[in-house]
Amino acid sequence: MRKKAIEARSKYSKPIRSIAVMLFALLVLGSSFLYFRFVSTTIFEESSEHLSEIYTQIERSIDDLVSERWNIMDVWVPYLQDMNDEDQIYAYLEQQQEQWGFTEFYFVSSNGEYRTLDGIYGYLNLGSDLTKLIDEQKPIVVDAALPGSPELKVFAIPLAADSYKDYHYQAIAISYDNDDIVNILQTSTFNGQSDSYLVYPNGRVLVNNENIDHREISNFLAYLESDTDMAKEDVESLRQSFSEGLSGVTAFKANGESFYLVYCPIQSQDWMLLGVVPVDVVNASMSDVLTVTIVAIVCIVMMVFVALILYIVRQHRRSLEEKDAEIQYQQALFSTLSDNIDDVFLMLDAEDLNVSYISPNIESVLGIPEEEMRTNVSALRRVSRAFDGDSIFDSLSSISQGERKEWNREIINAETGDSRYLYIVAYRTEVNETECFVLVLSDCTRERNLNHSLNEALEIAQSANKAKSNFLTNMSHDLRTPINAIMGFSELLNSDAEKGEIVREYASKISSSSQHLLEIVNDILDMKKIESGKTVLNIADFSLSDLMKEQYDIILQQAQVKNQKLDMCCKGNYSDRVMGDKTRLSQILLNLLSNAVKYTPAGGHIRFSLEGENQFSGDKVLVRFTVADDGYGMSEEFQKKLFDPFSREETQQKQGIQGTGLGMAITKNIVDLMGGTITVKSRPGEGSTFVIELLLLSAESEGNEEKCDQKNKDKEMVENASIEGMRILVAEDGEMNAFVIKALLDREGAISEIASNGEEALRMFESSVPGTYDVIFMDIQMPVMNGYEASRAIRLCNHPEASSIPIVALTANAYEEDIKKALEAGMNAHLAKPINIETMKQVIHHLQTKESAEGVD
Amino acid sequence: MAKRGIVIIFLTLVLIASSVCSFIHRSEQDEEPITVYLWSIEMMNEYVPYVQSQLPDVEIQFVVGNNDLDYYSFLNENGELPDIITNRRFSLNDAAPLDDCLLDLSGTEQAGSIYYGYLENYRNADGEVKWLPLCGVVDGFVANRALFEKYDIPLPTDYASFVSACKAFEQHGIRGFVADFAYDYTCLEVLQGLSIPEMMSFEGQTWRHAYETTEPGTTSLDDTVWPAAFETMEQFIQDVNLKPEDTELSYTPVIEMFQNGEVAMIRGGADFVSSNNNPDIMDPVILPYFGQNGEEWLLTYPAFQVALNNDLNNDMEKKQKALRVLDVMLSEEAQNILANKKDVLTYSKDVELERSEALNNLEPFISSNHLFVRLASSDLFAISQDVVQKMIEGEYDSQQAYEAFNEQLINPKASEKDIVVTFDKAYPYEFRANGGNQATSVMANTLRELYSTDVLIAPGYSFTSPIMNTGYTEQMAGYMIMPNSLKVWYREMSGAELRELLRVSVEGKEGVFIPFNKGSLPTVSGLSLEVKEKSNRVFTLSNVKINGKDLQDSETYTVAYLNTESYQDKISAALYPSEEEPFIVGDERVINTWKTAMKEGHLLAEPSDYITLK
Repeated sequence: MRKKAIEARSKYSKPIRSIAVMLFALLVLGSSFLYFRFVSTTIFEESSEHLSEIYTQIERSIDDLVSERWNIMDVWVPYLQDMNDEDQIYAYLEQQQEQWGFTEFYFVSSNGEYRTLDGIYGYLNLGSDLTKLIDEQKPIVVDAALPGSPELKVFAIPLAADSYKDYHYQAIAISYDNDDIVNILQTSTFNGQSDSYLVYPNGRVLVNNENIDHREISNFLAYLESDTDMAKEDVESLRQSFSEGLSGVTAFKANGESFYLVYCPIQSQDWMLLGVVPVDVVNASMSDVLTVTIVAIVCIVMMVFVALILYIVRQHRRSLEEKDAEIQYQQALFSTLSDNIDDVFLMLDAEDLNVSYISPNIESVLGIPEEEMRTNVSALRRVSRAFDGDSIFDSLSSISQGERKEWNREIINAETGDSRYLYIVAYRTEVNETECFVLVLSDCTRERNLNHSLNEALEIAQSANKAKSNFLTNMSHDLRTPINAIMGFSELLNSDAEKGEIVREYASKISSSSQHLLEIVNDILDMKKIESGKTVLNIADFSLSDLMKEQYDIILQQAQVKNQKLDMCCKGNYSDRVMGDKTRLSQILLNLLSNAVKYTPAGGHIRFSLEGENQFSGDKVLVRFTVADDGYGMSEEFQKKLFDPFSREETQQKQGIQGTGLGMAITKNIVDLMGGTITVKSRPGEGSTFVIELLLLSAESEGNEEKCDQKNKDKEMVENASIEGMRILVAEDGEMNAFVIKALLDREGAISEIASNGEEALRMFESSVPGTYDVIFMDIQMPVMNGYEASRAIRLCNHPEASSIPIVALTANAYEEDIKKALEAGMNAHLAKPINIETMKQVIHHLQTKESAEGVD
Repeated sequence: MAKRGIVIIFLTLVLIASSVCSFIHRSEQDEEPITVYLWSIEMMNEYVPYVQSQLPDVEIQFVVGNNDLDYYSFLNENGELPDIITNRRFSLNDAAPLDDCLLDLSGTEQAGSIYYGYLENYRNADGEVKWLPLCGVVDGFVANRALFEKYDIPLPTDYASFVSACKAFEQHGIRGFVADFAYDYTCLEVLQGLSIPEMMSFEGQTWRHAYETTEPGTTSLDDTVWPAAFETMEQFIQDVNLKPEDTELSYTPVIEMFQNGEVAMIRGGADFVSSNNNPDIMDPVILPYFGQNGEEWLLTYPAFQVALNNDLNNDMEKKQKALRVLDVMLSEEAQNILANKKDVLTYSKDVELERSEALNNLEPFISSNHLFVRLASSDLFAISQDVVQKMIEGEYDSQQAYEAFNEQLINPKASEKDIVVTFDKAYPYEFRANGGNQATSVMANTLRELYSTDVLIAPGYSFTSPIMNTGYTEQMAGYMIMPNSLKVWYREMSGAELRELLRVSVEGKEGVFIPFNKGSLPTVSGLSLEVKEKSNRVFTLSNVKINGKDLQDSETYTVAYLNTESYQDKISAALYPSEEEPFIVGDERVINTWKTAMKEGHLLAEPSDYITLK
């Protein structure tokens, strides 16, 4: 909206500014014109008046000159008539000539003939003036020039007929050359720069001073008509004025120079006096004033103009600066963007595909130097064949205005050789009235890789989610099944309590179901334990053959239920007794075998074998357990994630088969923990073969045997341990657990007291006399005071046995950190729930043994 | 495609350029010229080519016209008054009928350059100046100084010594003075020359002014001035013993007598003196007219007067051109060429003319301005001839002469009014690049019919006027042919000779007339010419065709060549130097043949396109 307003304002501001400037200019011009017209008119009037005054003076001078010469001759007349002596006349006139400077004196006869004092005869061609002189008895002035003689003016007056030396005359005349008239004409007013003429009314030049560099002018009116800018009508008007003997001033221009022409009649003659003065000369003084005025006005106007121009320039510059700043900002922004994004911008001329613009990051994105691209857009072909031939470049021509085309292309960075993915957009547009193509090459490699990873993660997540769903579904089923059995048989126990045999059977069933339930929970916890790296192998020597046998026995029942054939064999020369975690090993073998039973249809064949081989001089035994079946088998796809937690292949055949999907993951992790390998070969419908290879420490070697003996002794001691008669304080807030523990301890002959929380346990211990208790079983999570606090309190209390009394943690918190925390709280051992009386006995025995050993020392 | 476009554009430009050039060329060729009518063919020699050469941008049609203002009045009456006319015989009253159609030159630079005293002679009653004079020809008595010395007779210094000399020579059987009194101008000049004091008296000037400013027949002779003039003439006839047969003397016999020492003095001009100055033979010297009262004057007259058509005011551009032509005609160089060092006097302030020693003895008269300009109206010429001849013949004494003169002056002869031929078709006198001049072609074709030749060639100065759709008197019909001395020259010649004659006529030859513009090209009949015009108005004959076919060198043709005797002599000398009389001259002058044919009703031939100028 704001942009539009700015555009609109910009759109109208220019014309308005132009009109304002034009109006201002017109105002200035108009004012100047009026001013100059006023000044010119005033100057012309002033000059005309000035010139008229000057030339009136000249005219009077000429008139006076003519009159004077006539008057001179008038003075002579009486002398001439009175003097009879011709010699006297001669002398007199000679003296007069000397005085007045005339060139010749003439006795003029009636026909214009003359006689000079010296007796020279001649003829004055007086023309029509002869009549005027003789007939009309009027004085005349005649231009009497003749070929070959200088310009001559003859002044003649009539007189009574007389004679001189027998020459009859009726007039006398004197002649002057033109110098004296020219002297008068040559006024000094204008420093000799004026030009004056005496002309006849028809313009014919009688006398002129010729100061100005004019060519010879014979007729001034003809000159005006042919050689000046004066219009014919004006010349005719002037001719009329001459004829009527009028005065006036006008102006004309000749040879690019302006002149004033002032004219006035000579009163005594039919002549006109003309003055031609350059305008510049006449107006010199006024021109100074005018010049100063003009200069001042021009200066002011110029200053205003300059100020206006400076203002406009400044405004313009500011506007430009703002625009420049905006452009620079945009360029910087664009460059920054270009440098920091993986988009390359190309602008190509639509006609010849020459590069008009290229963003500077092209080298970093495509590996093509910017300069190379500027000179040759075909350099793009180096990174992708997409820019070859009839691909992208050829497609550009088909893009119409406003349309865009897109491509996704993989390119190879020309510099690094890295593969990159480009998203290319091209559209046709018009920049500065030139059609061009704009190409945006966006590097979407990271996005593409990220998307790929996300897709993979999504797939994994979806798969895990699905697995978890399946797990929960299965768990729900698997957990509910034993619980259902436990609850069912417990119910039956109530109703059939009197029937001893049935009760035992029910108790056995409940125990079995509970055991199954515990296994399930252990699996889950195992998995959790393995994943968190908290699994610790319990190494002990065991018999491989026993292991095989035990597993075989366990699975055989299940196999038989499904009418499956189960073979077992042991091959190889190996030490039967080895060091290892038999429990975990059993766990993984049972996993494999139970799976084989589960995923092999009824009547199927399961082979369970062991191959052993002593290695390293018998110190170690390489054992290879193989579980092979001819069951449903697995797809290759599933085999890849076979060992992933919660993975179960959902096929029609496998529907209804129970499982947490954790078995194989646990198996794999345990094998890994043992430093072994597990491989699988399987094909759908053909069965599966699992092979576990382990390198176990042989227990039959000399060193190993000692270790084995010690372990066996320990085991033997535990098996022989008895807690009968021992006094045991049990801190347990759960009534059910407390009841069970007390019942189990009671069954073993031990005397137990129950504390419902840690504080009570502390109080009971503190208040007891030494020797009251042999050992304390301490639950951890209890109200009032937890097991850690109670243990610390016991260790810190004043009871004599505070530091020695064995405290054993008995808790569901079975992780390593739980054990560590228990030991740190002053406890001596840790037992994980559920309660196993055998384990309790072993721990008590172990603590007693340790105590006695320390006591011996 | 682009190449073809360029070629098309180039060809188009070439076509446009050639069209424009052709148009411009045609425009230049057919541009309306300034027509200048010359009073005499003599001006054609050098004067006219010079004027044309000074105005390369102006096409001037020079026509040898007539020394008769009536002729221009006739042209004016028929709307054919030329742009510029010249005339030697002049008086204000003769010129008066043309006043209204002539330009007032008083306000021109050209008039301003004429000395005031001389210009005043041309100012009419309205104060206008319609004519401007060119340099003045000096006329007087020409004495054979060698003869004077031979007989130890002093050169005359006044009228008395003049008469004494005449009588002294008569004693030696030599005539003292004769003149070609057969001519009207001699009669007029001698009559006026002897009476210059009377003519220059106050009364004489008053009468002259009255005479010239009134219509013919309204001003009679002054009874103070003119009786004395006739008495002077009568006395002169007696003093120099003129004989009745002297009235038949023409120029040639008088000159022969003078050259042969049979006469000591003749009437003549300064030009004759300077051109025949050979002390061993003749040593002529010019003397003034000795007044019987002791005054001595030179008789002068302008070489010619020039006037401009007033219609030029309707076309300022053309007027400016015409004024430029006038300017050149009055220029110092042109006047010097015209004078041909024949000792003329200038009337113009800015002109200095060369003067030979022949005029040295006249310097006092010139410096004292004792220069009389003859009164040269056509009436006075005729009347003077009649009266003076009769005085010489003894028929009139001074009184009778005065009366007869006066009678004829106030009762002028009615001008010839009889129409001898009327042309019903008009042909303009203007040169066209394609075809030539229709008027001259008509005359050339008509004359070829009259002369019954295969071919007729007329130089560019042969014919005068357009053929107008009007009635012609015999005189005006005769004025169509100029100059008066034009004759026909016959020769049977081969095609090759004819081609050479035509080439010389078109291209000119040193010593022979050289055409200086297209208007000066010859008119031919019976054939057609192809002429190329090079730059600077130089012409080349490129082809000649007869009846549409190329001229055959081996064929024989009868040719009539119209020319004046002097020009024809030059042609003969140039082309046939070995032949004494290569041409047979016709008996009749062409003008007479023409007038006769017109009177007898010979029909005008049709014009033909006789020339193509490229």
